[in-house]
Amino acid sequence: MRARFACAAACTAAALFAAAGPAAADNGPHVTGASSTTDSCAACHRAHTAQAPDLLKEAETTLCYSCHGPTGSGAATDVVDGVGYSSEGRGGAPRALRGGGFSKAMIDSAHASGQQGGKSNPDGVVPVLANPASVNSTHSVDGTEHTAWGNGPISATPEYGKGISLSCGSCHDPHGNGNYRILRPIPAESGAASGVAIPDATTKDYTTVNYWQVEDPTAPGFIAKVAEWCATCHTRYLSSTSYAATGDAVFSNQHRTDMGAQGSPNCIQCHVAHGSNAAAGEASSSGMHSLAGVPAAADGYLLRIDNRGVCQMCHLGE
Amino acid sequence: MTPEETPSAVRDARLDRPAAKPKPKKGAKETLGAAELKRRRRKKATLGAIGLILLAIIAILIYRALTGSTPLPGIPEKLPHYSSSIYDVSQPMDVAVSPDGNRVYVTETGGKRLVRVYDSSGHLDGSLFPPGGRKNLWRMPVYVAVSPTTENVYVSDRIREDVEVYSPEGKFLHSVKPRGRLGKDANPLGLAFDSDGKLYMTDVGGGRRRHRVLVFGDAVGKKPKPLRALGKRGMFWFPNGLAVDSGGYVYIADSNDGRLITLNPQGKPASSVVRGVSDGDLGLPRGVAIHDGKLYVVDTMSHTVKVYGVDEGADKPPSYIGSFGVQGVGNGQFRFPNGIAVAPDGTIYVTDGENDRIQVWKY
Repeated sequence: MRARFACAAACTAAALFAAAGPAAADNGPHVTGASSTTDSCAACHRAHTAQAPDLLKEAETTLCYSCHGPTGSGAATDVVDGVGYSSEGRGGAPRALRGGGFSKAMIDSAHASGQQGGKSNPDGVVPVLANPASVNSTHSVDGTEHTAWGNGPISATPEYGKGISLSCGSCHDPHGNGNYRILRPIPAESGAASGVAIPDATTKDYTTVNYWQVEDPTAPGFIAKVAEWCATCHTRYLSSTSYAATGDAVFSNQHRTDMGAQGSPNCIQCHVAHGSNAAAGEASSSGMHSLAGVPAAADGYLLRIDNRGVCQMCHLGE
Repeated sequence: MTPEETPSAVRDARLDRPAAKPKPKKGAKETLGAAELKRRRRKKATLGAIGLILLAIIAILIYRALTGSTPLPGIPEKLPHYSSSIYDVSQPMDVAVSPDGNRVYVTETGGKRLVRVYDSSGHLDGSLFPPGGRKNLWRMPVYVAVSPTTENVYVSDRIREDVEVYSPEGKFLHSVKPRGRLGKDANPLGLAFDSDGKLYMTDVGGGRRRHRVLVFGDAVGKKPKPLRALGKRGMFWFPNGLAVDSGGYVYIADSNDGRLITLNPQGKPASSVVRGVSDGDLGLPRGVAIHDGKLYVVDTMSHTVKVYGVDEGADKPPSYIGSFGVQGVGNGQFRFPNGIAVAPDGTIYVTDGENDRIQVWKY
């Protein structure tokens, strides 16, 4: 009797085992404040069957785009087309995303206005396009390696910066960290020894109607610290003066980049973070780094205005 | 009598020893009692039956391995098997089938971002073009549904924040932009119809606390006012696909909360399938379809479709049956699936987004 029961149990177990499907363990998007027995990790990671670096189930960018991609089916920000959908109770047409997009952007880079001399211009206007246009320059997250211009210490011999392959997680922390735009204090592969944490905004506003207006009124720490944060990667671009030589063979004289006020010399005043459709088609702008051994490229270098329009915003007539 | 002369049987009895069994002669068969024979026969029969069962299981496994997921004839399948794929589409998002099953509509979010129209054999018949024709490229068709009463095709557009309506022949009729106290600032996403032709729409306009389901009448004009909104404030977080059963129960993929919520015809919560790691739990549900007592939920992040049994029109939670599809690029494998539709004959279409195809599954 016992033998018969044991046999029957063994057969049942064998049948169940054979019919079992693959285990499924998943969760939704970023969940902060996870408990000690959370299943949140399984949303994006696998311990033994990961298909991408960092034990990710999928390539990181594709994972992020499942919510933050063009369909906007999981988020109000479409970082591919540079579009922000209605959020926080506001309706109306989709708006231009402040950082531009990785495939398209809505910067009306050919129609800036309000240029003036005087070395600062808080009131200039760079309007938005009605429809997104293809970008000419991005902080590419497609996995290809690009030069992190200016990365590294001052060098008496030409050193342009190391090659880095960026992904969304290079700059943003998908686990959440309470910082502005969940930016990592030390971007991955930057090589920075110490980080820069930008305090978060009290009200999240991802869109803009004027690409020259870079200050975030609900995040006073943003414009004060963002240049320092950019310099964790673009180390030798951070400069508190436009007049002193640095001693570097390539980046020997710098435009000031660290003023923390709207319309003043700051990385973010001239450049967007994700991608820009601004063109650099004129002869002098084709190849900003026109140095021996550095290939020229007619891209917009993430600028907000075509060619040298950003210069004209503050140096008109000089 | 001396002890030596005493017969052995008598001698044994005097000593209270049981009589010894006579040893069989060499070569002679053992004589067994009837009860013992019966016991041995039963044991052999039991072992034989168990052996046959084991053999049958092994045979089934070998058969399934050799023939793919094709089932044994005459035995109903709990889960569908992979049949084929439809290509020539870029990052498809959602799929819908006409009431007669002859036309399959697919929203394409890559490439030209059109709504592709296929016949039931997977042949591309054409595309639906929005107002402005081919030149108007700034659009993002996301979800699609076909009215069971008019056969008109409804397509939600994320960028335009409206729903475009086409005739069964593919002619653009009008756009739908909800109005009124309930419809103002709506941003349509998922679409579904009940059997009477009433339109159900997930609305992701505004902040998270405003996400909800809007219900319209069966005659949806250009600026319709929703009849009602379903879901308490803050109940949903980017609700995507939804489906309505024959009893008026609404099954909503509450995507970013990682769960499926069922509302009864009065709009009150009836049951849910939660987020988690157990069989049947969900991760990032997106597309939903219901057919013949089965509920299909596309779990995008787990690259699979989960199947539940439902008692349509009853207040019972879905009961998990199983799932089909795994992560990958081969036949029967998905990479970020999203939409799902079931034809009247039970053929299942699933958009396989990052593999640029629509997979066809059958029972």
